[in-house]
Amino acid sequence: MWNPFRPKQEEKQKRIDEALSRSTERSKATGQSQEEVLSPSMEENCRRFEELFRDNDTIICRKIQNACYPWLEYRLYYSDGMVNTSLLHDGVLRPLVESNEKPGRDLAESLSKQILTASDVQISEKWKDVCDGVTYGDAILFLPHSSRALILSAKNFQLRGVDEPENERILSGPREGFNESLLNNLTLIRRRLRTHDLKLKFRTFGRRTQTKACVCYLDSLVNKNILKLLEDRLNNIDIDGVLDTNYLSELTRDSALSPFRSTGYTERPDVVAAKLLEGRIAIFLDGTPVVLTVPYLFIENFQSSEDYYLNFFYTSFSRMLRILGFFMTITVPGFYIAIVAFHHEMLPTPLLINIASERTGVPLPAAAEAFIMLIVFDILRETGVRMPSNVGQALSIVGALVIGQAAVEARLVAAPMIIIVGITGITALLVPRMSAPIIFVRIFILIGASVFGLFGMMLTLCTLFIHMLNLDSFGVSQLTPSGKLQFQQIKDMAIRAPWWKMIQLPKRTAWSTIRQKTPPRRKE
Amino acid sequence: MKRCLCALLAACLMLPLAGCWNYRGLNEMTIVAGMAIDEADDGQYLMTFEVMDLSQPTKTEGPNSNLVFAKGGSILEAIRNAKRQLASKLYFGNMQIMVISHQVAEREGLDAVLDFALRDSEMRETMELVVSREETARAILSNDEKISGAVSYDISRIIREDAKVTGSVFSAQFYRIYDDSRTPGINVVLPVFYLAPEPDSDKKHVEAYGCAVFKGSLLAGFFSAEETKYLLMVNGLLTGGVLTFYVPEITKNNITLEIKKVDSSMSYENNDGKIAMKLSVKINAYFAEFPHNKNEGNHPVLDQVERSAENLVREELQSVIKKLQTQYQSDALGMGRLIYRTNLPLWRQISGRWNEMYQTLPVDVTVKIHLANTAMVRES
Repeated sequence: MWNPFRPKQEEKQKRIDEALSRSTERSKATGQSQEEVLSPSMEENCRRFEELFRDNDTIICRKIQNACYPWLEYRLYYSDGMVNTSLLHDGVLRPLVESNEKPGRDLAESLSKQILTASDVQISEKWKDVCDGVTYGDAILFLPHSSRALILSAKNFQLRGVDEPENERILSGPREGFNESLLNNLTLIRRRLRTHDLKLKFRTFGRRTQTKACVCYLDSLVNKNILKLLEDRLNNIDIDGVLDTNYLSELTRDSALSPFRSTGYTERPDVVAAKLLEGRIAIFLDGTPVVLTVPYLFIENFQSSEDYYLNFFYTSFSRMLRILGFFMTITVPGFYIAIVAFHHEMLPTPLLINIASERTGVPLPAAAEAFIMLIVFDILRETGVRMPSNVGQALSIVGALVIGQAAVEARLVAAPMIIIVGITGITALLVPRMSAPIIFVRIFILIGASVFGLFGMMLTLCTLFIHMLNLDSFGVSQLTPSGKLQFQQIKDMAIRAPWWKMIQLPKRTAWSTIRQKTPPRRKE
Repeated sequence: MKRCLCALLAACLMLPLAGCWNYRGLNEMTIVAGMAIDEADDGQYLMTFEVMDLSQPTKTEGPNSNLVFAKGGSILEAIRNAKRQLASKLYFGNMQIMVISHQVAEREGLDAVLDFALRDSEMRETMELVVSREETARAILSNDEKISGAVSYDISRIIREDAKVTGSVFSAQFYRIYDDSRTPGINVVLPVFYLAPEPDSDKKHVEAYGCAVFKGSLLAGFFSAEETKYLLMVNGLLTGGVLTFYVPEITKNNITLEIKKVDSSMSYENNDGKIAMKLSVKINAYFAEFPHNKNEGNHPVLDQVERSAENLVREELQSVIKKLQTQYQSDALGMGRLIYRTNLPLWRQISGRWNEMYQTLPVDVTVKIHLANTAMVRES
């Protein structure tokens, strides 16, 4: 299997490196470099800044002169729409203009310490900080006769609220969801895990987007090997832009061509907190509400945050339903074809007669029919996803009427096939996290079953199981438990044991395994 | 690449291991519900297939069946000849019954039929074998009164249900019949169906008649439904049924007992080559009809009912066994098999003259009936 971390790609890599260095040279020519510093002359700095941001009309320049000391002239640059102007007015402009104190020898120091009332003021002499700041909503204050600039944080952009995520709704439990602001998202986690043990390490991805990210874990629980592996892989990423965490997920995954996920994703802070508490690592990215968690065990496909907020009998049942749903949605079409086209003896007689009489006059063989109907179903699903809800309604009527009834009555499709596709589609909705692999695996099994009957279905199922058992997520086997099977370790698998029974943490993810002290014996 | 090739090869090697993997759509075959075997005038087989008619949607009409006739020198030849008039091949995987006409059973016996059914890959080993009491076997299948759309499925349902309810018919599944036909010391018994006239009309319906007793592979004779019940008591196949009798001392109406459970055991005594069979039957029963004006808690009354029921069963059993021994000369109860299974050396000595011995074999019948309950909540 192709692996993005294989050293075999060296030659290709060399070519990419060359191309990259050429493009950095070009950016050097325009003046931006990691190490370059400001010049002592304000005019020079301003000219250079305007040169860098030329043809960018959102950059606003404001010239300021102190009332008492007219020789104190400043230039303030900011990006329009990204700063809080009232804050800028009260915390920066007014003190600068109205202050009658004579600034000290070090202008930058004394401004930030005595005059400016804005809360976040940084002093920097690097062009990189200046450029990063202004593109992220900071205001830049150039000082006269100083090779240092002040970076004033007055960020203010429109954000969504912490609404409940659309695709992870639950009936009971916390309803907060992440939004697109990194710091806001981290706050939601901080509020849930109030311990110094929580480590939050920033890093940046994307040469052009300069997207901030945060790797977050509980220091005493995290498996250091997994953390090391993750950091190595993150360090290897060199891409022009990162807009969503899925970029990172695909760039760091173990078996690159598997349709199964190897990182968890969620928009719920309570889910991230729970995963951190089991020793997992979370990766936040600025600009997206989706947070990655690693390592990702296979059973997490079937887990839902609500499993832990409701009664364990109920949630164990629904979790088993989800597992059953997964197997049904991948095998039902294949099984139907195998039975109908190969093993008629397995059908009870009345059912055989019913299906046979429905199938008389239908032009296509059952297998071709199954392929077409599955594709039609996926077309309907895909259109429904992107449609506004009022159009979606019309769509479902068309889908149900045209496909469901008219096609059967016109004898284009046999009625049992509609039922099979219906079951397949409904059960697929039980496991929304597996929607990608399900589509491929289902077709794979259907092909096997159409060619060799039940034998082919078993053959493809075996292939699938071999693949699934080989899946790794950051060095952790996704499906097979490591070492001896322990009862404690399977209490959160097919069933969700009651909380007082879950004494240990999952060994595959957590370094230390104690979740709670052994509780006193209870009457069971 | 090498690994892929290896995997492919391994998969290919597995292919011949699995049985049937040819694609055959449901609409490319003619589903046979049952077939009847007759003898044509020219000595060939005349086969009648009841095939499901799928041209009408089952939603509105319900399933229906048609008949297909074909002639041939052997059973398979007739089946292949049937294809000449059909669009698609006959499919026997869901065939439920095979009706054999009594002419075929009397003259040719079961051997050809059993052998063909065993060798054919499609036919189920659990299909029911039935003998027709009518002039031909196809008369049974061509009856117009159908409940579930096909006469064959009606018959197989009657057989399945009746064994528990009336005790007049039993399930003679092919694999058991084949087994019996190959075991020394037992003769085959098959259920018999006929067309019973309905009162006040010309219509006829399919009904269980009783059973057919074979001698070797040839048909020896018939038993009525009532006699079949006693036959099944001994064979251990009886799980239901009623006993109706008349005891004038207690009540002027008929008394009916419903049989709940039957335990029968056969044994033999060997006195220097003189073999005597012992048959004991224990029946658990309860009252179904007992219209009378006596106190049911009264022990003498219940005892009297038990005694008269025991007498009835014993007499009937003795007459059935007599008929088997003398008239049909068929060891349908498996007395020889009992010896064969329990005392092989003895069987080897007597197997040559078993047929003669059997006709005069003394059989001692003991019957014990236990009335489990009176089926009354309380005397009011």
